[in-house]
Amino acid sequence: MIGIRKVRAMALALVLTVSVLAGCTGSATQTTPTPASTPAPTAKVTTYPVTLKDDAGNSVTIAQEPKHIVSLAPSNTELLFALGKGPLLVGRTDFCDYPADVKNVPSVGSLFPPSYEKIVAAKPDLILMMGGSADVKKKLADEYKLPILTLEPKNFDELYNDIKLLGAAVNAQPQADKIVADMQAAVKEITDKTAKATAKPAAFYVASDDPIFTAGSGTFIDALITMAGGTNVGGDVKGWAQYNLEQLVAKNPAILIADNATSVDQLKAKKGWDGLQAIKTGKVYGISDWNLMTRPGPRLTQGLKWLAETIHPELFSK
Amino acid sequence: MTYLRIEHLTCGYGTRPVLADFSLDLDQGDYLAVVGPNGSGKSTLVRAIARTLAPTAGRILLNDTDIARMPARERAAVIAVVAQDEPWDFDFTVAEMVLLGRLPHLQRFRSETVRDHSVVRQAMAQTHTLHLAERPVTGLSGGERQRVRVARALAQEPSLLILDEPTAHLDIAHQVELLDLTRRLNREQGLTILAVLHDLNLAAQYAHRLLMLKDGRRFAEGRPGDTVTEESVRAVYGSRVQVMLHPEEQSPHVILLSGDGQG
Amino acid sequence: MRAHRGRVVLVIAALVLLATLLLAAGIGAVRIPVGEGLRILLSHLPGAHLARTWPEPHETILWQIRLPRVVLGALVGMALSVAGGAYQGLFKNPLADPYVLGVSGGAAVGGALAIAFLDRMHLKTLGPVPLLAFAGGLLAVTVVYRLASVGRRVTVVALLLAGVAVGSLMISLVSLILVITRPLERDIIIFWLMGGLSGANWTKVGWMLPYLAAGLAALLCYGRELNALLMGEETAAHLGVDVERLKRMILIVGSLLTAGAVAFSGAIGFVGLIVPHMVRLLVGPDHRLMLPVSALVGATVLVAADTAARSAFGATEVPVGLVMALAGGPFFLWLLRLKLKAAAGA
Repeated sequence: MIGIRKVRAMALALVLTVSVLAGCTGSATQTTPTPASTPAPTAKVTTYPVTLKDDAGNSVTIAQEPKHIVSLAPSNTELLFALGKGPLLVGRTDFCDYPADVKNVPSVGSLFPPSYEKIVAAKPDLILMMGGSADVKKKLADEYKLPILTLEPKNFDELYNDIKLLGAAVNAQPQADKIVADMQAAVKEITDKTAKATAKPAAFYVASDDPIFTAGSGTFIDALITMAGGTNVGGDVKGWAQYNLEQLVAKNPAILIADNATSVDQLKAKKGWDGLQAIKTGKVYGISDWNLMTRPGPRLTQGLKWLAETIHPELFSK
Repeated sequence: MTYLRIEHLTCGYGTRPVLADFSLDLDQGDYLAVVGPNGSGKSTLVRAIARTLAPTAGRILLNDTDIARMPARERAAVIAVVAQDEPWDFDFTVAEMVLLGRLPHLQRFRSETVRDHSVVRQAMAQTHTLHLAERPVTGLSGGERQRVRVARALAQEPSLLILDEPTAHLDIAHQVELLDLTRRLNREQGLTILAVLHDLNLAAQYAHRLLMLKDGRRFAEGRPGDTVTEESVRAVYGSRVQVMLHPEEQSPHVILLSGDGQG
Repeated sequence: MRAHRGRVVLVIAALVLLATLLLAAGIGAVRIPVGEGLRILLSHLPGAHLARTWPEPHETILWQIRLPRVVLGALVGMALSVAGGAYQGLFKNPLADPYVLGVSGGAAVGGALAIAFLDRMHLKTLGPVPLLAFAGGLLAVTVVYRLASVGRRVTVVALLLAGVAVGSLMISLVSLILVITRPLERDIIIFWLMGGLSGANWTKVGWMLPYLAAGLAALLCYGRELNALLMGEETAAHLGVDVERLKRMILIVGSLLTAGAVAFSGAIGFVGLIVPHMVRLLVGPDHRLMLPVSALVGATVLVAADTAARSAFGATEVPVGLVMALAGGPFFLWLLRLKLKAAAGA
C-alpha cells in the first residue's frame, strides 16, 4: 500500500518537476510541432510594433520595446540574461537560478500557481512562458490582458530559432545571432569528433531510479546523447517517461548517467542493477548540474561537451 | 365503532413471517394491552401499524382508510409511537425534543406558532417534564427520557398512542407513574391506546382489553379477567402460576410459582 | 433561550466573516493601502463614480485577483461545511465529511474525466466539470452509504473503512485518467487536484453560487426532518418523516455542494469535519441553526486558511488544502480517539 502510494506520488512529482521545471516538457513530444517560422528580420534593430509567431502558434504583437519583462521559466530567464537583457526582468520564478544575478530579481512565486498579484503589480509589457501551464496562461492572457510569448524549443534547430525570436522581441538581434553562431560552432567542434567514433555506446539517463524515469525520444538529452556519439537506451519511449527495469536489464547499457552527482554511489549500490554492464565496469557518471543537459539554452553545449567526453573519453583525451 | 382494523395481516423479516394472517379490531377510546413471550410478534405488530415494516399481505385500516396510502406526515398526525429505544447522541434540549413532535403538523416554510408552543407546554406539563425544558436530553435518567418521549408523542396530538414496552428499564415507581399517565390520557382525553407490555400484572391492571399472542397468532383476547387465567399463562408462557385478584383494581394478578414446587 | 443565544451567535458569526473577508482582501503579496483599497471597492459599487487616484495594477489586483478569490473561498468553505454537517446528520456520526466519505474523491474522478475528455483543458466552458464531479461524488457516497449501513446502525469503523476503500479506489481512477490523458490536460488535472483557489475569478464565483444556494436552501427547508433523523430512522418515521426520500435528498444535496466546491477549488479536506462539529458544540444540534452558522464559520475558516496559504511564504503559494490538512488532521485524530473510546466504553 505504502509502496504503491510512494510510486504514485513520485510519478506525479516527476511529471510535474520534469515537465514544468526543466523546461523540456513531456508535452513537447506530442503537441503539434510549430517551428517558429519568424520571417528573419533583415534589420538588426527591431522596429516596433512587431508581430511574432511563438511556439504556441500564437501571433504575439509587441507594441513597444519591452521594458518590464516577467519570465515564468528558468530557461527563458537564462536566455534573456544571455541576450544581455537581464536588467529588464521585473519578475521570475522561484526556480530561476541562473545566472547568479537573478537573485536580485523579485520572485513571483512558483508556477503552481504563481502570484498573480505580483505579476500584475510588476506591470510587465511582456511575459515569457513555456508550454504547459495552460490555466496560468489563460488567466494572464484573458483576465489580465498581458502579452505572453511562449518559447518551447524541442530540438537544437528550434532552440536557435527561439533565441532569434526572443532577440527580435526584445531588440537584441545581434546578440542572438552571436549566441547561435557560438553554439553552432561549439556543437560542430564536438560532433566532428564524435562522428569519428566507431562504436556508439548505449547510455541510459536515470532521472529517477525508483521508479525508473528517463528521457526518451524528443528530449534534449536524447539529442545530446546521440550528438555525443552514444545511443540513448531510453530512446524507445517518448518524452519523459517511466522505464521498465526488465527492459533496462535486457538492453544492458554500458553507461549510466545520473541526474545529479550525488546519486552515483546510490546507483552503484542498487540491488537488481548489479548485473548491468555499466555497474560492473563502474561507468556511472553524474553531471555537476543537470540543467546543462535539460534546460534549453546556451549552456547546453557544456552539457554536450561533458557527455561527449564521458561517452568517448578516447576521442577527447588526446 | 371500529377505529383501527387489521385485516389478515402477514408480516415479518426475511421469508419467515412473524405475524401470519392476523386480524384485530380496535375501537375508539379503547385501551388494549398486547402481551406474550419474547418473539411472539408484539413488536412486529407495532412496526406494522407504525409502517416502519411493510406487510407482505393484508392491510391496516384507520377510520376505513388504508394506512399504506396515507402520507407519512398525515399518518404521524394521527398515530404516535413511543418505540422501545432510540439513540440520543445529540444534545437537543428537552423542549427542542418535545417540539419535534409538532413536525407532522408544521408546514415546511412556516415556523412554529403560539399554538404549537402551547401544545408542547401542555404535553410537558402532563408528563411532568416542564422543569427539564432547558436540560440537554443526553443527560437525562431513564425515567426522565421515557417521560420526554411520551411528551413528544403527545405533542403530535395523536388519536392513537402506541407504546412498545414503555416500562422496560424503569423502576417500579416510574412504571406506575407512566401507566397512570396513560390511563388518564385514555379516560380524560379519549386517547386510544395500544401498549405492548411485558408485565402481565400491569397489563391486566391498566388495560380494558388484553391481547395475548403466541407464535404470531392470537391466543386469547378479551377483558383481563377472562384472558389472564392459570391455564392461558401456562399455555403461552409455559409457567406455573396462580391467579389472584388485585385488592384495589379487582384485576387478575399473577403469582409466579416455582417450576419444581409442590404443585 | 438557546434559540435566542443561537440568533446572537448567527449575527456574531456573520460579523466575524465580514471582518475576515475585509481583512483577507487587505492582505496579499502586493501591499495596497487600506484607504486606497476601500476607494477601489467603492468605485465598483453601482452608481459610484470615483476619480481614479490609484495605480491601475492595484485595481486589477484587488478587484480581479484578490476579491474573487476571497469570495470563492468563502463559498467553497460554506459548501464544504454545510455538506459535512448534513452528512454527519445522515450518518449520525461527527466523523463524516465529504473528504472522509470519499465524496471528494468521487467528485475528483468526475471532474478529471470532464477535463480530460469533455471540457478539454478546463478552459472553454466551466459547466461539465462540476456536473461530472456531482455525478462522481453521488456515486461514491452512495456506495459508501450502502457499505456502511449494512446492519441496523452505521458504526464508526464501517463508515471509515468504506470511506477509505472508496476513496482509494477513486484516487486510483484519477491516476488512471492521468496516465491515459494527453500531457496538456494531465498538467491541468494535476494542478486542479492539488487544490487551491488561485484560479478564482468572477465567472467561477458565478458558477459556484447556484450549487451552494440550491444545496443550502434544500437542507434548510428540511431542517426539522434532519433533526428528527438524528433520533434514528425509526423515530423519524414515527414523526412523519419520509425517511428514504430524506436520505436520498441528503446524499444528492451533499454531493451537489461538494461537487461545486471540488470543481472550483480541488479537493480540500477537513473543513466539513471541523466546522460543523465546533458549531454544534456552540449552538446545539438543531440543523436550522447549526447549518447557517456552519456556513458562516466555514467561510471564515477557509478564507483565513487561504489567506495564510497565499501570503505566509511571500510570493510562493502553498495549496490551501495543505494548510487545512495541517490544521484538520490532528483534530480528526483527536475526534477519532474520542469516538473509539466512547465505543469501547459503551
